[in-house]
Amino acid sequence: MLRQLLQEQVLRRVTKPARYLGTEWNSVHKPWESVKVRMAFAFPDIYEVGMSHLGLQILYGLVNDQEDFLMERVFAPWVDMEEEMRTRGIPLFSLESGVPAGDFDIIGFTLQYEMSYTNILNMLDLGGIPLLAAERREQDPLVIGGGPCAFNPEPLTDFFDLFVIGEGEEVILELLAAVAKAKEGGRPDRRQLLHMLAQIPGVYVPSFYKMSYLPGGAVAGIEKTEADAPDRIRRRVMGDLETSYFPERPIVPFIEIIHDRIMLEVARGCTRGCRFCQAGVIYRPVRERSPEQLRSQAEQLVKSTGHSEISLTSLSTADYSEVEKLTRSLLDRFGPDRINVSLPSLRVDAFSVDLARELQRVRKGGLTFAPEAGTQRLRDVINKGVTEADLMAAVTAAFEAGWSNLKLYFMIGLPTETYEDLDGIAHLAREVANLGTRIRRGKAGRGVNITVSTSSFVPKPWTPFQWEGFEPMDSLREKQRFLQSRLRDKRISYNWHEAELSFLEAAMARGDRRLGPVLRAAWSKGCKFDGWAEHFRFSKWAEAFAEVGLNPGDYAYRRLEYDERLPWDHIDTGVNKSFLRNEHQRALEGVRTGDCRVERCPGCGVCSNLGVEPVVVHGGSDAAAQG
Amino acid sequence: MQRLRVEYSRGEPVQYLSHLDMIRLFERAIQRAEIPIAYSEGFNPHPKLAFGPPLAVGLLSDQEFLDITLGQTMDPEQLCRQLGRQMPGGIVLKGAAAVPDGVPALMAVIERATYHVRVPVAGERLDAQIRSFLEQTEIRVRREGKKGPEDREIRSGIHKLTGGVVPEGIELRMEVRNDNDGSVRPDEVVGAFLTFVGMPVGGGATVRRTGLLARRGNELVSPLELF
Repeated sequence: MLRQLLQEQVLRRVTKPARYLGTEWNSVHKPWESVKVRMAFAFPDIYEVGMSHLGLQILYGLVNDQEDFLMERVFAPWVDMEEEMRTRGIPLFSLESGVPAGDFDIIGFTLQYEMSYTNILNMLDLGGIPLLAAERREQDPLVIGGGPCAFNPEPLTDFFDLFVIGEGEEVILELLAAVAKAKEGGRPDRRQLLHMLAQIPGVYVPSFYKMSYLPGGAVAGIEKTEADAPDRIRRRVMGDLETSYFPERPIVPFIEIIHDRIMLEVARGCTRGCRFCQAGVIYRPVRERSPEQLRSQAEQLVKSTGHSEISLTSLSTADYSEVEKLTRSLLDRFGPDRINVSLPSLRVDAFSVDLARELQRVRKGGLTFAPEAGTQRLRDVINKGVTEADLMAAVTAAFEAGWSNLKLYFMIGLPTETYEDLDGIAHLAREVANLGTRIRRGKAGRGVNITVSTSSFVPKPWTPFQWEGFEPMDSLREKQRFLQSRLRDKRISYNWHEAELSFLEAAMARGDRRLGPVLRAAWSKGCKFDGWAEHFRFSKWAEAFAEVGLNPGDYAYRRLEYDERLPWDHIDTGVNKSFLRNEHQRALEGVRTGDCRVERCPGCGVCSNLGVEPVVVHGGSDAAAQG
Repeated sequence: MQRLRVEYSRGEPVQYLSHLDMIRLFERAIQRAEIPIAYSEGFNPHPKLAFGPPLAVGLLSDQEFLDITLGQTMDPEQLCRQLGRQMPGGIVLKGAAAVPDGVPALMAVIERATYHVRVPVAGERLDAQIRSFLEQTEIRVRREGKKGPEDREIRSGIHKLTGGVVPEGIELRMEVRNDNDGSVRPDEVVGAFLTFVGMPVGGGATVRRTGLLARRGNELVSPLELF
């Protein structure tokens, strides 16, 4: 009935109605009554963003491959669709069956970035599901969360029944089986069910823990209130990607999405150890897939999707040990069928550019490099193992190969940063532009075009910089103006991320449970799609904080003490806090830490704590040495 | 090289795809079906697909056409079966035929389209109303163009218009201009008609393209009858 209403009256009135059809190639439509447990995968952003997320495709395939379970998709409707839905009383619905989100046993939100939190509240509200976990009734779904932001889920604890810490494909079937068992055994009440689920390693039930706070804002203590809840919730991790589930038939969207191509996951985890990077910690250790398996997966994916591009994805694809061999063999195999192979990001070195050149016969678009900081000193502080020589070699290779549009990506507001480091950014940009002018002189095509882009450093939990503060917004704006003046050159354009958005991201990233009411207040003032510039309203957020009586600066700006309790101390990524502290110290001393793929083990603790080890396919040191 | 002309229909819910979505859909289906399609020359080769006039988002259609150029010959029936298995729900391949050399491209010969539009309004004396509607020498409508609203004359592009009462309201059946130089949109005809007879113009109309007509000498025929 809902489908018919959409079909006949609603879809014709909204932009991009194909976002809401749910009948894409490889979408799975299981009879609702044929399974024991039904789960909705909810992505708190629009279809085009959510469908570009590999994790969705993995969990969707995995769950739907099971006889007893089904998974359907739910996305945040765009504002025009939301208006139609609210006017007509249409609840948030799943794409496949057009079933109200509230009818599922479980709604699983993926927590990819902090500024999607208001969309979660909006989606729950649209689904008619009580926002507060404490107010949910027996018939309401379990609202669960997972993904990177679950490593400090505290600002969200009011709204979630539980979080899954770590790799979802490890946990999800255990969770669904437990819910199935509970339903069969005459559905225990919500609290009993949560007790059962809390026994699954990696499951965090926030209502089983109590936080207390010190005057001034720090956390005084985290106390568990239920004897059978774990003291710390340890991250779930797969020992080996090679034997893990792989979705052979991913959904092929009708409309163009952000990453509209085959995503071939060559590895998980990264060994670089950049000190600002959360992904580099929470996905440890590195686990590579064998080239043989990847070739056969590519074969299957091309057959099942009809995509004409294969993107080799991972946190740092150029670090994949067999990247050259793999790309060459994929090109040999698929080139004649006119299927392209691409890399989502490049390492800053000539090797990566050579690789990109081989992949891209036509130099359309530009290349992006991320030196992250303007001086060697600061790059050593953040442990970004890139030298000016690396960068120059990379851009030389790029200009010589025919590229003339390059983008350089930096962070400002990094710990220990001075104006000398900003001058370093301007200096690098000019050097690159000069080099380009020299190399491209007399060659076909337009002139050199260098885009410098800066974002503001946000201290994230589980990184060596978690104790650092976010740089005051005024000072960030000052630095942006400074760069603007230093980058006056017709070959160079400069753009930056607005400080306000990063400031709120910083507050949320290191936030605690007291931010729950702030989120709620912000949402009720109309905040949603905060990550979208046209929807972001900083003033509404400021009002929300003020209403609740909190100062966002206390969260974003405060430098944390080594010995204070952190709001995420009860989560356990397997990385020792002592390692992070040590890394922070080394950062302040400007001492680099080696890559555990090629140098000695820096002792983060993950392998021994979680009983795993890095999985690197043969030839590892060779490929890295070339870089 | 061999050119095959494929006839297909578009139903629910894929009526909500855009023309670009349709192109992508066919390209991917052809890839999956391992159809030996030919590619254009040049640095950035693309598969040789040529569609008939684009179908607007939201429209159903009984008859659409697509020319596929193959690098090696293939039995049209076989192509239909193979490609048909890769079609998402709502798109039905109805047939295919080999196109002899020298037959012009679809866009070069299609001149008109026919539509049935169902509108949920109460109607009576439709024949008389349509007659006086068509007696106008010009009918002007406003269309939102890329450069802002434009004023357009559509009477000369309405070749046939009939109507009748159906359970959901009224159905208008029309044959209108549809070529490279300009097309009359079915919703414009309906809007102008409803305004003319003093009926409310709201949403809720269901538009179905029922056919496309191509020029062959002095007559208009189906694109499949051109060869």
